[in-house]
Amino acid sequence: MFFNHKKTTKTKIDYLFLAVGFLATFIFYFIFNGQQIMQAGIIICAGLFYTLWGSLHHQREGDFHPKIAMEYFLMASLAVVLLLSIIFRI
Amino acid sequence: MRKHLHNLFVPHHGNNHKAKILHHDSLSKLVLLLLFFQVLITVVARVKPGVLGYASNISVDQILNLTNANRQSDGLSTLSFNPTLAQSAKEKAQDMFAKNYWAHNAPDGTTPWYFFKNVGYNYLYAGENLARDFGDSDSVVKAWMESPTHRENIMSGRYAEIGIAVVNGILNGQETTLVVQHFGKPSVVAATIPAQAAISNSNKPIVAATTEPLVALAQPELQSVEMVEITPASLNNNKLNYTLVQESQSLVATPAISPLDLTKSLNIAMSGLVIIVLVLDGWLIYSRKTVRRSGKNFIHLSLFALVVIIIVLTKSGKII
Repeated sequence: MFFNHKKTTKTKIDYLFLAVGFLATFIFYFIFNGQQIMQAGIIICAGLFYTLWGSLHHQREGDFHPKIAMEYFLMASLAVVLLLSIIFRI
Repeated sequence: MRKHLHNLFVPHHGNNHKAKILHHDSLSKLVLLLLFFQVLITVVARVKPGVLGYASNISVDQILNLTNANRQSDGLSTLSFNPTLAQSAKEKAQDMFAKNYWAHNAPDGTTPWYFFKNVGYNYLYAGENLARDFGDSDSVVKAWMESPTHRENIMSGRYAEIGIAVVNGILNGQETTLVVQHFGKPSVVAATIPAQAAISNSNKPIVAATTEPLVALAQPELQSVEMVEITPASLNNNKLNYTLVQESQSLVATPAISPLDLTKSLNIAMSGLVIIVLVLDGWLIYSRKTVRRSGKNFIHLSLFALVVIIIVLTKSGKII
C-alpha cells in the first residue's frame, strides 16, 4: 500500500512536470509570435524535452526499454515537423 | 484492403498488439511524408508563382490612423504623412521584391537609410518597420505594438513624419503583401543646432533610427480611399512582379491558395489521424487487458492535442 502510494506520487510529479513543459512551450511559442527562429528553437527544445521526459518517466516506472525511448523520439519528431512546417509557412 | 486497414488501425497479434501506424517504421514514414508535402508546396510556389499567397486587405490610411491613435493614447503628437518618406518606403518594398529578400538590409548590403537618401529625405532620425502576409491593417499595427523594438519606433517622440507603403508582389514564389513604415525627423534642425546632431549620432538603428542631415517636406492631403483588386491572374499578366499601392489606396489581394492554410489543413488532418489511432489503440488495449511494453498513449495524445491547438491558433503575418 505504502509502495503504491509512493509510486503514484512519483507518477503524479512526472505528469506535473510534463504539464509544466507543455504549458511553457505554449506560452513561449506565442510570446515569440512572428519570430521564426525563436519559435523553431522553442519547438525543437520541447521535442527534446518530450523524448527525455518519456525515457526518464519509464525508467522511474521500471519498464524502460530503448524501443520506448525511440517511440517518444519519433512521436516528438512528428510533432516538431508538424509545427516547424507551420512556423516556416507563416 | 480491409485487412490492410485493420492492420494499420487495430492492435492484434499480427501487428504485435499495436496499431501498425504507431510502429517505428510507420512513424518515420509519416515524418517523411510531411517533409515531402512541404517540398511539394515549395516547388508549386516556384513553378506557378502567384497561385500560393496570402489574402490581405490593408490600407495606408488605416495603418497611418492606427499608428497615430496609438501615439495619441500615450500623449504623443501625431506623425505627419510625408510623400517623400512614402516614396522611400515604396522603393524599399520594390527592392525587396526585385532582389527577393525579406530583411532590413539587402543581400548586397543596401541599408534602409539608402532609400531615405535616395529620395532626398535627409534626416536627423530615421526608422523602419516591416511587415508581411497580414490579413488586415489592424493585425499589422497590433503585431508591431506587441514587439518592443517596433513599438519603440511607433511610439518614439524623436520622429515627426511618416511614410507608409503597402506593396503586393511575388516573394520566394508566393504572393506577398509587404507593409513598410518609414519614420523620420528632417534634419533642418540639425543644420541649425549642431549639438543636437551630435547627440543623434549616438542613435544607431534598432530596427531603425540613425542620423544625418536635411529637408522638411510639405504635408500631403490624403485622397479618398481607392480599392485595388489583385488576383493571381492579374499578377501573371503583369510583367512587373509587384504592384504598388498609393498613399491612400487599399490593397485587396486574393491569391488562389494560402500556403499557411494549406499546411494547416494537411497538418491538422495528419494530427487527427494520429489522435484517432492513439485513442482506438489505447481503448482496445485497455478493454482487452493486453499487457505490452510501450509508451503511454494518453501522453502521446496530450502532445498531439497541444500540436493541434498551436496549429489552430497560429495566424499569418511576420514582422522584422
